[in-house]
Amino acid sequence: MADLFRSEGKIYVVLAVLGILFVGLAAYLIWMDRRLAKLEKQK
Amino acid sequence: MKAWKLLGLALVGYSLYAGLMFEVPRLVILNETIRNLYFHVPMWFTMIALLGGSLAYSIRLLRSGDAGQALDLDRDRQAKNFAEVAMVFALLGLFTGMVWAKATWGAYWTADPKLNGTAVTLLIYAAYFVLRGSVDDPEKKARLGAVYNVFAFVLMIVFIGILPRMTDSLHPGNGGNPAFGNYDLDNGMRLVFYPAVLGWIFTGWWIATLRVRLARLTS
Repeated sequence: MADLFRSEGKIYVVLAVLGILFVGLAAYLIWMDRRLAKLEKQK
Repeated sequence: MKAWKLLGLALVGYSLYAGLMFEVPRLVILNETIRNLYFHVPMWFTMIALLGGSLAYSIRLLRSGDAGQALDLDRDRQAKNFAEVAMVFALLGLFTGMVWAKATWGAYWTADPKLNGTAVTLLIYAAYFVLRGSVDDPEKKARLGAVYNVFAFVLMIVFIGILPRMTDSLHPGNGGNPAFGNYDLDNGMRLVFYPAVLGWIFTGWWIATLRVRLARLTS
C-alpha cells in the first residue's frame, strides 16, 4: 500500500491534478449545455 | 440546468475525492489498485445504461411506424447517439481494464471469457454503425438499425453478463471468483462505489443528450 507516499502528503498532489481535470471537464459540459440551450431558443 | 446533471457531476467529483482518500481493504496483489473499482466498473455500468437507452429509442422508433404513420426519425437520432457515447465508455472501460490487468495479472490481455466478451460486444456495435452507413434512405436506415440494435443488446447481455459467469475466468465476478460485491466489497467501498456508478450514468446520459441536441441543431 502507498503508506509512505501518503504520509509524505503526496496524495494531495494526485488529488489536485485529478481535481483540475474534473473541474475543467465539468465546466466544458456546463458551457456546452448552456450554449446549446441558447441556440435552441434562437430556433 | 437540470438537477440530475449537476447531481451526476457532484457524485463523480465525490467519488474522485473519496476514491483516493477513504480507506480501502488491504488485499494482496491488488493493494491500492482496488480503488480502480470506483472508476473502471462505472464505465461499464454507464455503457449498459446508455445501450439500454439506445435500445429503448430503437423500439420506440419501430413503434412510431405503427398504423401506417411515418417513422419518427428523431428517435433514430437518439438511438444512434446513445450507442455512440456508449461505445466511448466501452473503450474507456476496456483501456482502464487493460492497465489494471497488467498490474495485477501481469498481462494487458488474457484469453478470458469476460475480456473477449467485451471485445466481441464492441465489434457487434461497430457493425451496427457499418450497417447504418450502408443504407442511404433515412427511413430504411432507421428501421434496419433499430432491428439490429435489439439483437445487439441481447447479445451484449449474453457475452458480458451470462457466458463469463458460466465458465472459468480470471475476472472478478465470473467463473467462481468472488465479485467485488460479495465479501471483498466492504461497506466502506460501497459508500464510494454506488454513488460513482450513479454519477457516471447520469454524466454519460448527459453527454449523450448533448450530442443529440447538437445533432438536431445541425441537421
